[in-house]
Amino acid sequence: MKARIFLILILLVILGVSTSWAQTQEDSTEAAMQELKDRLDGISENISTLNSDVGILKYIKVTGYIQARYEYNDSSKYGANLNANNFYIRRGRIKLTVQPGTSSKYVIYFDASKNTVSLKEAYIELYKAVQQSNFTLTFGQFNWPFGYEIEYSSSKRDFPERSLAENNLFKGERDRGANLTLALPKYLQLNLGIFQGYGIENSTFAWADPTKPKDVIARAKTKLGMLDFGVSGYWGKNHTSGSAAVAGTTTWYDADGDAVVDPGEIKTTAPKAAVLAREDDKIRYGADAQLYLDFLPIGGTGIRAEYYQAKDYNSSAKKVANEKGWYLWLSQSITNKFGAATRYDYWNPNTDTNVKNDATGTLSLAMHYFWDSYVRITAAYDIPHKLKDNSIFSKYSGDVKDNRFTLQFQFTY
Amino acid sequence: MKRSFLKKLGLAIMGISLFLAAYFAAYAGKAITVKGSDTMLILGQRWAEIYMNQNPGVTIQVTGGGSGVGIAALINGSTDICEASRSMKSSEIDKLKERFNTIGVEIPVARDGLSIYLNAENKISELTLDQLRDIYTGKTTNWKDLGGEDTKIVLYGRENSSGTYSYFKDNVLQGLDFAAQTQTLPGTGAIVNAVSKDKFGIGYGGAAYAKAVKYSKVKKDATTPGYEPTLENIKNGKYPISRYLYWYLRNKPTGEIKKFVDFVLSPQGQEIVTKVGYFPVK
Repeated sequence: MKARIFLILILLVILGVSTSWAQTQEDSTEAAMQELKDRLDGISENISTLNSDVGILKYIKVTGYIQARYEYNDSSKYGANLNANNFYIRRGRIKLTVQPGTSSKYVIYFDASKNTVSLKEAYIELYKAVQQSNFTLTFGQFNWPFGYEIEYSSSKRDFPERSLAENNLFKGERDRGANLTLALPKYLQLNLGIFQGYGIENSTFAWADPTKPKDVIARAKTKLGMLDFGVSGYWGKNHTSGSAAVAGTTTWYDADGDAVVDPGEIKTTAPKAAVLAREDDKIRYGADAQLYLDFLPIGGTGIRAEYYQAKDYNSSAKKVANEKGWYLWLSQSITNKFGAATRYDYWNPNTDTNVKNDATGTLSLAMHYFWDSYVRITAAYDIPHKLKDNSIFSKYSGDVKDNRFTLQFQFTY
Repeated sequence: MKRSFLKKLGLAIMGISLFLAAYFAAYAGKAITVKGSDTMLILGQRWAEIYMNQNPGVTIQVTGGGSGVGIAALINGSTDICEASRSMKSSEIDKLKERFNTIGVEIPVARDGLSIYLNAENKISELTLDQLRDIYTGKTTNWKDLGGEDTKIVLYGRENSSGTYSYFKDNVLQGLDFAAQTQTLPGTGAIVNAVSKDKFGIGYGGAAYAKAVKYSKVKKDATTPGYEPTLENIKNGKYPISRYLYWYLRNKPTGEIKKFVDFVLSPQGQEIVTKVGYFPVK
């Protein structure tokens, strides 16, 4: 009996100890699980914060390109001011785009080349979709919405520089103002903008516009599959500063020191009349077309053409003169790795009078090699010549040595 | 133009021609690269596997990354074929014109019903397009408002480089922004996996990926019946969110690429479309 009671007591003790041990084990497992859960919650919270912080980076895009060149000019001669064969950085661009949503965008764009840094673009874009149409309001400093080649990036163009007409009529390609773009479904895009009118490279009127009314640009372009077509108009005013009247002067210098006015010792300057500042019409019209053909087995063929007709005050002719320019540009892709292009570029700064050697025609040839997705190596040759009768068919004699060879390495990111 | 210059130009053209001939010879047997839509990744891989089995001399590399990534690769010349679950945008075609002087070639290769995935335990079985828009824009945040449990809706979606993301945004959200709390995942497979483990999750993607999740029927509006993304419903236009899946090329296909395109559009290629879980175009 005693033994049985003893056995029961031992069993009860063992049971009590094991229950207590199991309870302790359960408690410690629960505690460990809770700790693990807390840790996981902490990690999840950290990841969520990290995602939120890193997510902001998705809204920011940094793009740009560098064009490093060697240029060989026929016109180059020895001497500091005459040598025109140089290595230089033509464009060093960096663009920061911030687009946190679908309703707005911010862009700031710099150029660092030839030892200077300049602001190329800085603008805000607002987007609004109305049914199937999209409105975009651009405000700040950006490309003039005129024609084709202004908005065509220099990093994509086949030739080292834009056409002469564009360079003369739209120097700098950009201005400060506002532009409303309406993209209608599929085919049509309309632009209406108002601008200061002097562009970002005008040193006389760098920031202030001397003419009270602003310049207006309108553009319509359509895309019909392989054919794109656009027309543009620019209506503005050009201010030419005047000068004050200058009185005539008479001065005597007693060259021989005899205190007598001798002939030759008196010098006179004629008085100059005041020149009034003037405001003249600044008008540009343009039409452009691009055709893309896919009939050669080596790659696509692009034919691009643009025509400019303009009216400006001509300081040489001292009157408002008509100007004309156009180009025809043929571009051929050769597999993924190569490209070839040729362009004829015509520019006549004054079509009103048939001044000899006034107009210029430039034939350009270019070859590209695409090293990889980022690097393009271009060899280009420009052959400009003055046109005797302002016609591309006019004969010219004694072609000036002004051809130019350009070797360019470009990295785009 | 001087004669000497013409002579030099002629020599230069000859030199370039020789270089090109060598280049073509060197690259004649290179692999065909296919890149783009994650939705189409499995489909692209099946086509490639079977085509390579039938044509042992051909190598085809198929990778994903999203339709946007594929289109960018087509534009910068790093892929031969781009797989996209959306049409190319006008701005993307412009880039192709600038770089390759072409507008590209668009080939619809399959159809897809953009599926709405729900966890198998979710009581909800159908949603209207308006409800989906409200869910994904953050206007509706609780399953209770849709007839489900009183629990927060967990949103899963794709990254903005994805064609599925763009298609869903344009056609279901009507251009509105996704709710900030949408968890973006790198691929339809990841979305299906997340929804299968999350009782209160919702996701979207291609029909071919729906494993261990259920489809929500989709209704055009509250008055119309709901439909699942089946071949019949997509063919007869009853399922409200269906789309084409595309291949994009820079130029008209030639050589081996043309043979591969012909295979994809052939009855055998279209049968693979059905086997993978999408819908044939022919």
